[in-house]
Amino acid sequence: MEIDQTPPNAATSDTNSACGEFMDAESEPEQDERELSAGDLYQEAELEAEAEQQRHSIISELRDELSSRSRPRSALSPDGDGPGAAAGQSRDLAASVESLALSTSTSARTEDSGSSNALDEDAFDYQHDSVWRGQKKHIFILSEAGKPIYSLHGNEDKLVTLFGVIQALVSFVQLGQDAITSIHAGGIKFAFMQRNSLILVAASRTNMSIQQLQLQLSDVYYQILSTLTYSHISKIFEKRKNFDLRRHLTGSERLIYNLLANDSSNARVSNNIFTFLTNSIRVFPLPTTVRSTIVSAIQSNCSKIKKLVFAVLIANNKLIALVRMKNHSIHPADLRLIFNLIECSESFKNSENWTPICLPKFDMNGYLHAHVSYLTDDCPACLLLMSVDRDAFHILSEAKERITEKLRRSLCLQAIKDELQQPYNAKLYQQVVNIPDLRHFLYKPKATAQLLCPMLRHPYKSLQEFERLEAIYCRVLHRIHNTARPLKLIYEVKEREVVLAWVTATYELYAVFDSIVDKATVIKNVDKLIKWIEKEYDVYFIRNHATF
Amino acid sequence: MLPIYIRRRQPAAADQIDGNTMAKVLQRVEITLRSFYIFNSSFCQKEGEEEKKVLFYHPVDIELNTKIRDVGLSEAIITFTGTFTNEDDCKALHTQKTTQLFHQPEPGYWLVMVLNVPKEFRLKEGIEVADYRGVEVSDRIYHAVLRQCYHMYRFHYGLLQTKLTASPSTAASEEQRQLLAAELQQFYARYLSSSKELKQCDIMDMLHSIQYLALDKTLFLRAHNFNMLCDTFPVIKECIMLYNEQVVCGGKLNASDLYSLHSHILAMSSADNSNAEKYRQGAFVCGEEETPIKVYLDVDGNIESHYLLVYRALSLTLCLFVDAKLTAPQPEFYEELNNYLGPQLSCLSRDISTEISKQNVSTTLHDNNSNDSAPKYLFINEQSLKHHTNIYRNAKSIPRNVMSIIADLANPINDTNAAGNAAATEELQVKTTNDYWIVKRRCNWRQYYVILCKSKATLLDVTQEAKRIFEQELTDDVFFDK
Repeated sequence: MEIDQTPPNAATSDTNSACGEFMDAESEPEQDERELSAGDLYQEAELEAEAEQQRHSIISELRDELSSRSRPRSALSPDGDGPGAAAGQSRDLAASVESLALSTSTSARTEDSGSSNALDEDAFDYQHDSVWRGQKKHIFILSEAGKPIYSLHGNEDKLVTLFGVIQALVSFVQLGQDAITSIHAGGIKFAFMQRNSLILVAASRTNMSIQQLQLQLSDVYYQILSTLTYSHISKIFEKRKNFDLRRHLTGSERLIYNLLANDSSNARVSNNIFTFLTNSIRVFPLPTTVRSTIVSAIQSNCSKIKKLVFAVLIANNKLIALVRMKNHSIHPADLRLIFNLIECSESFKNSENWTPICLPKFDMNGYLHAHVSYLTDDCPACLLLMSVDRDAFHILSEAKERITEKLRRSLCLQAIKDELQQPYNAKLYQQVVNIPDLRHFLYKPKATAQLLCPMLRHPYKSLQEFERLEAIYCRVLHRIHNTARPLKLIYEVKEREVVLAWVTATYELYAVFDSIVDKATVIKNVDKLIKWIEKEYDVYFIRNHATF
Repeated sequence: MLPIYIRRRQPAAADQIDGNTMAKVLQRVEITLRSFYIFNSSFCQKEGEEEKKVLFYHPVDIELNTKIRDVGLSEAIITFTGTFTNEDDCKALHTQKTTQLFHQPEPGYWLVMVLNVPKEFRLKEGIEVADYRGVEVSDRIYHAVLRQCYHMYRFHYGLLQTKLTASPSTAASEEQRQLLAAELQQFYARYLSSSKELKQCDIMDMLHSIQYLALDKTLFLRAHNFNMLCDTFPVIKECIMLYNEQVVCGGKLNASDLYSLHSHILAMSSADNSNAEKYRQGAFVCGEEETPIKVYLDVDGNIESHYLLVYRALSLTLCLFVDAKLTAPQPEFYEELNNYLGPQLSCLSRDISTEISKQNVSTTLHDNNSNDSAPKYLFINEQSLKHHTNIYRNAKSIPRNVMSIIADLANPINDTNAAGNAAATEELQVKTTNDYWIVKRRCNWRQYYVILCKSKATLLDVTQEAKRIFEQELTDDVFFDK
């Protein structure tokens, strides 16, 4: 209604009455607002929720509930507390950089490098490496004791002095009962985050806001939790402050890297970055009948299996179907971790797998056991059956066979393959082609945390232009969701494009048009687009995730 | 029927959120100045002398160790950012409880302003919890406030580095350092205590622009002709005229100096207790016997000192700058000027008053028609730093979040801009959650903002309305001058 006397509203209201989840979202507008806009981007709210979670474990509850003989959970947690190799050394360094923070006069600095000579000798001279310095994005993860855990660029062993400085800054501010959140310098900003004995720092030269960087850091943090769980990390650091956590993260660096490399800073042109920016996931478009056949195939074959919590079918980084245990749901951040795992693991393609995975938003203290396999050799849809029972492999493996058979017979496999073989989604593409001035858009219904965006077309296929698009969305999303002063609508005419951002009670829309379009045309086209989305809603979104 | 249903719901939802937070907030503490310090690391040549690098620290009654620690943290932050970018580029540090702004106006000299962010005490499950609202603090506004802290000092005392000429580590340099510290102490103790309350700083403090008095052409030319003083009296380098608090002609003064001069005149007027009778025929504000104060102006990139003579007749104030390389003006000079200026200036002042009261009558009529909800506007000329606005005509008429959003949207005005990076032409419309519309246009080095409070307006309505205001208000000659 802000735009015009918009018929789309009428359409939206129609769907509201038709859909249970929409109604819920509507009747509790306050909660809705908090959960989906501010809440997810707001670190403190998140921390609170986290503190809540730390107190109890859903997984152990589920186990207790479902089986009389609940076993201790530690069997699968990688238990290791070997000797911290360079423990004493790093303590020295931490102490010396502490004094660096106190007096950074040149003389003090040379003294410091003297005291940690052994380290400096083979330390990478990052200060004079223009490639390293000029990277668009850096991510550093270290322990509270200053032990390096991860660096996106450069070998973290060779950045040990820098990690020491970060640790000193963080702990120095902490001494004053405070916490660093960000630093801004010409052309670069740094976001800081401290969770569970870990310090995470992002440095960025892109348009991402501090809040967006922190969201990215929290995704990385969850990725680490997903490998180790919260309680395990806590235990390790309780025992030994300067434990080298890398020994437990071997193999998951690629997961962290893939999570971070999804944007233009890594010269990648893809829509993936937008799911992260809007804290959502994308849905694999399928006709309603096909999707419901798939869901019922999963339901009928899994409903008898106890302790099965989630069944997730995905393809091409998009969700085909999710069936869940009653009263439990998956947060989009957890789903993104699952997508990331599948995208990174070529090995899943060759055989059935049985892998522990922690979904931090679901339960940060325990593992789910996932049976992961692709439906068939020639169908790139991947099915994850996640159970709290660590002995369920064979049961789940049989269930998977039955589901695949059912989907084959009902031609659903073929439908998925057909959809994948199109270089783009034909209907969506046609719709976008019908609005020639519309270059790209993001549409997210407020009730679902799912995102619809068309494939990237000219001009955004080139990296340089894509960077601009990414910057536009970063800036617009930041303004709309600014925690201190949110906005309802932005209409911006720039030299190269016209941008419209519009948040209503039911959806968020961000649309990018050619720069020559006038306002009336934009409004007309947005109306057209919204109407079309409302009509095709069930192809592109899943209103309700079924239960077993 | 359906649109009405939605329209009713949306504000209701927004109200609910506001209402809810309002109910929970027990107390709100606004943004305050925690500390303000100036340091130069090069004054600490060996360990144990750290206190030497702290040239000024406010508040004074803080333990020396705390001062050194704070400076140490700032140095560490600057060094840290220097790992990734040019060392001189550090701008701000945010912690949960503070916002710290950095400014390095001269090589090695850093000014740091530490602000306590606003906080709200809420009742959560029966326990009082402090909620730090750091996100509300606009870096850009307070960074500009910090820059002005330096400019004001420079206006009165000149460059910091010119105070330290002796070679380092000598007794002479230590003496100079102490002199500088004493001078900073003297200036900032007064400046900080008299400066504006931080929570009230807004877009105007950010841009450092000045509202000029709008006059008709004849009056403006008469006022402008006073610039010929510089020809009649060659020792006078520059001549600036103000009517009450508004600038009439700004001469060729650098925009930031003009802003400093303006603040200085305002501060002087409020401190000046002499009765209006004194200025009926025109008189110098400072006594003719005293040596006039020296100020430092940026003349083509060089900071040069000038004597500042302030002459006032009725409501008009004339600021005259005399080159300080010459000897201080003698009584005869004052008298000659007085005779020359007195009659002309008081006559002009009377004419301007008449003109303004005429203008006021028409604007009051106009304002009465539309009162508080009347559209607000703000126009800024980026090159001359003139602005034209009615935002302050009705106090408190614009909610704080709207003012902050304008500050977010405004293009920063800086030297790189002036250097020729083409100012992009753009148009922007936003609607806030409390149903204010802000329309921004930027072209040809000018930024225009119109603020409307119309919840039911559509995008096209707002465009129309903004266009009308642009056309109606952008006829001002003074604004388009230059």
